[in-house]
Amino acid sequence: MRAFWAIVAKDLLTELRLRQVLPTMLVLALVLTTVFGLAAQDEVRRSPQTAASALWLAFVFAGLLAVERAFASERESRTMPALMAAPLSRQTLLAAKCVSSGAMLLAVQAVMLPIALGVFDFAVRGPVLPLAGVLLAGDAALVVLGTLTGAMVAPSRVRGPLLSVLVLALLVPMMIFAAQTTAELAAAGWTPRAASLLAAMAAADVVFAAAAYLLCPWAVES
Amino acid sequence: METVLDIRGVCRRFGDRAAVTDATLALAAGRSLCLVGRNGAGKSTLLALAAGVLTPDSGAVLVCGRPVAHDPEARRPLGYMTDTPQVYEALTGRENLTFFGRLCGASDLAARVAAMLDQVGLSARADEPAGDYSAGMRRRLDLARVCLGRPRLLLLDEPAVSLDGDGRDALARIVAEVRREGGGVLLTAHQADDAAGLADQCLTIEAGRLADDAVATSDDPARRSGGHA
Repeated sequence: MRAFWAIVAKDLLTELRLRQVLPTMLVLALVLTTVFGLAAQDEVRRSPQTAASALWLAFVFAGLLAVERAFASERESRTMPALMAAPLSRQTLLAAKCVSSGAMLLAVQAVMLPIALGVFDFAVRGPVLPLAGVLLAGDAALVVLGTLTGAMVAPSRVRGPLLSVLVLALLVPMMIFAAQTTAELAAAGWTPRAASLLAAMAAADVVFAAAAYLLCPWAVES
Repeated sequence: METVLDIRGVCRRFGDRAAVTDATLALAAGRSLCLVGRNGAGKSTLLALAAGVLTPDSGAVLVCGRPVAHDPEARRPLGYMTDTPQVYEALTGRENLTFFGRLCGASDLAARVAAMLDQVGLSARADEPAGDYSAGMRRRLDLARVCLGRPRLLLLDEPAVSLDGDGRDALARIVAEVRREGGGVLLTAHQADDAAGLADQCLTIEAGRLADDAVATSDDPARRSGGHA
């Protein structure tokens, strides 16, 4: 665990000093959310479905920026061999990269959620905990799939478009679930439908995590 | 004498090109061996295979008796330096070493980092970002990095490149220390002369094949028997 947290701390410290990704993530999420919010008619803007869809679209594109940098930054600084020769498993390396990307995404979400509540003029009904669960479940899918794919495409000169195409194709069903669950929580609170949607997201996360665990050594070494 | 590195019939291809073919090599504790070859001969690939960074298509690599490819713990006794410095430019020299020390589980880390910075002559600039270092200073920092965990096997890819006189002295001291403490050193160079003072034996590698021509380097002409199997 010492190596795991060392990588997470190093990634976050490097980002705080260089500001390579976080500002771009924030601006992108902000632009997407405000454009959707301000362009929509009042009735549409107050719809939880519109707000949730716009929010998750913003989170996905912001998250893609974070996961693309996770391994690309190591390739660019030529530090990948040092990490791979260290006494830690490829799975630990991938998990640490997922956590550092996830932390950046959560930071963006912490800023964006209050702004979105204002722009879209909607409120979350009932307890906040289920909403946190939806965010975590959606984020987990995005960072696990994105970081794994990011490791595979990191050596490519067209890694950005390649990553977007591969990850978005796999993530579309999950993001639809995430938007539907968020909209349900906003419209009706913690209902049986919201619970079943969240359970389906959690199940998908388990599948993604298992696939990442198995594919990780090949992905990192590729 | 214990074998710290055992490479057995290792092959590795990149697409259609064979980078390393049927390489077999054994490095005993306390010995130092230099792989000599031209650009693209397969030196760096063989070192990456020995470090567990690349997985062989066939054959096996054992470090201190453990297969290195799929066992993270087998990589604990090794220090691997590539031909380009592996440092984070946004972190200071001290932060770089502290980070890599945590990865390799070095004990008494703060003192070990300070000692290694002193050994490579970077103490005075330890708290400056590594991005401000010259190429030679980054190389010295990289040298300090690979020695943090007191490795029993040092893998050095063209280690003398970019180093000035002091840097080369530090490199020679580190290689001697690892050997004295019962470790082995495998390094690469374009010419046997580059390994003078570092290796007691050279092996030629050409088109991915190790030649059966182990020769002693000029500083140690008496040692002609080798670890090359």
